Amino acid sequence: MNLTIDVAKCCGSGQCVMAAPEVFDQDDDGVAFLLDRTPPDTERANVDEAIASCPTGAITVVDG
Amino acid sequence: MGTGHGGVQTGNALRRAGWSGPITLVGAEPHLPYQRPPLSKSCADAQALDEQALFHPAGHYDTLGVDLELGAQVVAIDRDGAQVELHSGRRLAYDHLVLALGSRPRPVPVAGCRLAGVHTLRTLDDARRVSAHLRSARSVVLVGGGFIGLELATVAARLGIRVTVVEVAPRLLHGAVTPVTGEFLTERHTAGGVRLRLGEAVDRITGVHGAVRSVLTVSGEELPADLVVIGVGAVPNCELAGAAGLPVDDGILVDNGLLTADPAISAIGDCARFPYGNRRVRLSSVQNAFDGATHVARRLTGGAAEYAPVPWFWTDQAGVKVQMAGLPAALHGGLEERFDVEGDVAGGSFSVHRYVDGSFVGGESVGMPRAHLAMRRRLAAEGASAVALAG
Repeated sequence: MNLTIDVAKCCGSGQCVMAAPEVFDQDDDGVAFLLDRTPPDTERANVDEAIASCPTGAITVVDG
Repeated sequence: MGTGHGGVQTGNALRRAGWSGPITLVGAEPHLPYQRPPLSKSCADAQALDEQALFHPAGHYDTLGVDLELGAQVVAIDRDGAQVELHSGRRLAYDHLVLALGSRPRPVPVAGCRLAGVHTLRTLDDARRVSAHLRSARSVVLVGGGFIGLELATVAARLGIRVTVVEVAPRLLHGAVTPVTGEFLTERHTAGGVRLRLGEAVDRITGVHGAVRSVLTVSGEELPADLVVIGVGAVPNCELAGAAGLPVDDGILVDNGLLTADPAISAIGDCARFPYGNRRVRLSSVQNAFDGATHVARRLTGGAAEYAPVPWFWTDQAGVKVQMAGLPAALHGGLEERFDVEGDVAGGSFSVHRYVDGSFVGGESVGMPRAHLAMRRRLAAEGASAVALAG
């Protein structure tokens, strides 16, 4: 999985951090960033949940 | 019905839950479904608005097999016939109808509110109009110091425009945030050049040649204005439901599963009033629309738990992001409240924890997103709705 976060769309809700804390974190302004740009397949379910629960649709899978 | 946060997430969540039947999103506006928070926050930049506001490109709905009926005004819900009637005369049959109709700006019957240059802000078209006007405006007056007014004030001040906010309550965001956070924001707005007129009401809006010229306050101050935005709350769009015989009371009444009195109709988001603790509440937030939609999708595909959300909200204003967890303070009003403040308020890195009758009910965080998530986890663990509400 190759992920990307659209920081302009990110509203800092932290939904991604709650769903996949090994993959996502937030800076002090709440903007999400990737701890791992290419997370392992073991994180697939968590990442899917993170993408589905982002209220602004800021996370996309680039490929895979 | 509705192509806002509730409608879009209902479609997304149904497909994610594995439902493969037909889904149609019906929206009165002609635009591809878009998000409302950027309308006030990114108002200055028309291009940013266009880029950030859409939920998804058109192809997303094709891929999911979700039909869009845009620019489609529903004029009646025919419950007996299980169909909705559009303005065009077409009828759309349903097995289940989800009402995600949102809310609209509360109308303010002040003289002069129809002058050119006086706006409300709810839709993308509103935002584009305000954005265009901001380019030439020299004096902006925001009527109402709520989230819309303060976010727009921030945008205008950053453009170097003279901005005044007129708010009837004695302090900023009274009823939405604690006094600690209210004072912090007051200082930051003032430092950013926003003039605040608290405990003040508008007497009338004056104009010349049909265009706004100034706002007159009840105290007699005349505020020059070539752009006025009125944001004094929103009323739920529940008229169609009421006309169809569904119980409404400042919102479409639903049970704890978000089902109306009609087993084939659910209601979510701004337009729905649902049981929470010992009362019924109506929450206007992305969270409530999104989580309500997810809940209904689960319920329709076999899940049965009650809708027991952890409310959260955010605002971007005065150069900071304020994150809130729990219900707005106003809903706990009148009950004993204690605040615990941690961090550095002056430095803009702090958290306020709120307690009602000794129970944690939520709070605010600025520059501390981990503290905000911790509050939400705590509310989930302790039962967000367990605390009695005022009234």
